Amino acid sequence: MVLKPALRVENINYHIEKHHILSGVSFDVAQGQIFGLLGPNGAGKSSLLNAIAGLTDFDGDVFWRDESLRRLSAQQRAKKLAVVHQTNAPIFALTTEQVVAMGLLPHKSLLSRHSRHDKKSVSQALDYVGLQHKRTQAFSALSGGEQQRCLIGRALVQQASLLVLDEPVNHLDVYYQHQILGLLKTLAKTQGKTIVISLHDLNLASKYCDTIGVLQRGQLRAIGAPETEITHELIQHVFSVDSDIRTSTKDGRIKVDLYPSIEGHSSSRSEDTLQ
Amino acid sequence: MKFKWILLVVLAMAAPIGSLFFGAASLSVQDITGCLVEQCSSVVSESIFWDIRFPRVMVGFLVGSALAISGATLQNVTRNSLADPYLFGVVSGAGFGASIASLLFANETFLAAPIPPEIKPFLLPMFAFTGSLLAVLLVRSIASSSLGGRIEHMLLAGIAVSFMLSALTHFLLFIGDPYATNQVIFWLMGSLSRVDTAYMWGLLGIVMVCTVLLMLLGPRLDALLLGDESALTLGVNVQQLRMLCLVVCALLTAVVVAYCGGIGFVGLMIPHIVRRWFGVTSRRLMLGCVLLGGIFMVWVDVIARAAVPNQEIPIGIITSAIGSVFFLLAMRKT
Repeated sequence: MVLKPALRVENINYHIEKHHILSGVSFDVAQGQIFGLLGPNGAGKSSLLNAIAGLTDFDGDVFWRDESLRRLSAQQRAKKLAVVHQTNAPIFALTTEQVVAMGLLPHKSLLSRHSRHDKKSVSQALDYVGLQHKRTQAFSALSGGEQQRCLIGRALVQQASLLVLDEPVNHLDVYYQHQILGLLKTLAKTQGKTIVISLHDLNLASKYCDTIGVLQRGQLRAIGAPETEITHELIQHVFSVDSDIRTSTKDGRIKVDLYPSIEGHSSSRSEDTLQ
Repeated sequence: MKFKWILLVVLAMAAPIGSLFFGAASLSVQDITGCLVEQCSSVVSESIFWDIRFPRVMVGFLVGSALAISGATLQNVTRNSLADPYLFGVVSGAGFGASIASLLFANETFLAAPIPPEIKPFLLPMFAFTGSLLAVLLVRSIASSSLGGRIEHMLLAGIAVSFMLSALTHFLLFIGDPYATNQVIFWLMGSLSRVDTAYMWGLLGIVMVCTVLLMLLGPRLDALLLGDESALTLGVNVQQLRMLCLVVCALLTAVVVAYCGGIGFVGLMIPHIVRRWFGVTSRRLMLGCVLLGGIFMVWVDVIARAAVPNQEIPIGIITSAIGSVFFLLAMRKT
């Protein structure tokens, strides 16, 4: 069955001075799906996510349910799209609850106060991300995984249907990686959230993403289901690494074993020399 | 938490009333309570109370409030806990304006000019105010034209403009008339002796409008604490908000500096205490700063008036002394 796309990214081009960061990037994501963005360092993943989030100026357009996100004000966009960044450390000791409650901001005017319903939705979000017991703790005192969950809680309070996450499992141990991605999977399935996420780990992408896009030098080299797109040739071509790919008997997902060559360690990748 | 707020409100009401009993002219308790409740006992005590002491106490409270909320706002919008209203060249700009005024006052041609005598007392504050606003505009234009308008660049531009204007001020004072130079130096050290009822009402209006505005913007200021990009994704127009806050802070500080001179450390110290006692969210922070800043400045002015008989200590000396001790103690605790 072909699902109607909820998010449509159309021909995004982005350059800094004469250096092309993104060239003609287009893809669709259906509602309730997780789209994983893969690629080596400097391929343009963060730039693409920033473009979708409206944080950079670019050529092309991004449509959410046939409405151009570029034409919306920051506040209107924030009602439809929530962003979870890699690190957000406030200088003053905001509590977990206060950070989650910030998600209410796009829905509030200057004169609005928090209603009982607002407090309830913040509490529900804290329950959902498992941080109710740490609601009065300083955000900066939370572990990396807890901070990510807190920001996901903020995105839930924001009531945005589209979530954009830039490498949310970087610097997290295996337990928290699966906890965060499992939480996103549940959100996509139970609440119909559409999620665009950048990842480095091919096995995590295979396990949690419905569709993947592989970026190389600002262009999409592959797009489709992980089991069809993640191939030995693609990994060799994009990451310059040998691999062994097999299908897990447990969940039917593909598993990738990587074998970087020792000689390749000292020489630079074609990607790196271009940066 | 509720108890702390009640205590703060009670202290904020008690501080101005208590400080009315201190001053150079001896007013009895009966005189003061009489003036407050019904009628003053004599024309002299009425004049001293309503024309001098009452405006001075109220202005002291408002000056403390204005400097504290400016500091709190700047610390939030720059995400720098050491940001201070004076960092953007406001004081050095005011000093520069005052120095130009002092040179003009000593000039014979200027003195012979047909200026109405009732305007002359306002000339120094007007020059100071113009100087401080020009400094802020200079900082803003340098930061946006050559440094890309990023907030950390604005701080750097502020420091550069401060030093530049201070150098020019010192040069003007060096070549200026010694009497006028003394006047400007004393003014730069801060004093509430120049204030009157008209200034009190003007300052009250400005502080009230700015406080209400900053409290309305509170949740947006909180969003800035997590970074510009994070705030933008929450629907905050970051550039517009930051510019608005800078203008508000410049206005508050310039109005204070123009009449009362340089009063350092209040904008730095009070927000830190309020955050520790009442929390970091902006609405609580602003309200706490208005009350605690006011209480602090009222009692500092009492010390300035009462510490040395028949003399007044410049208020900036006292705030700087208290502020430096406060930070040394805070460093020991952390």
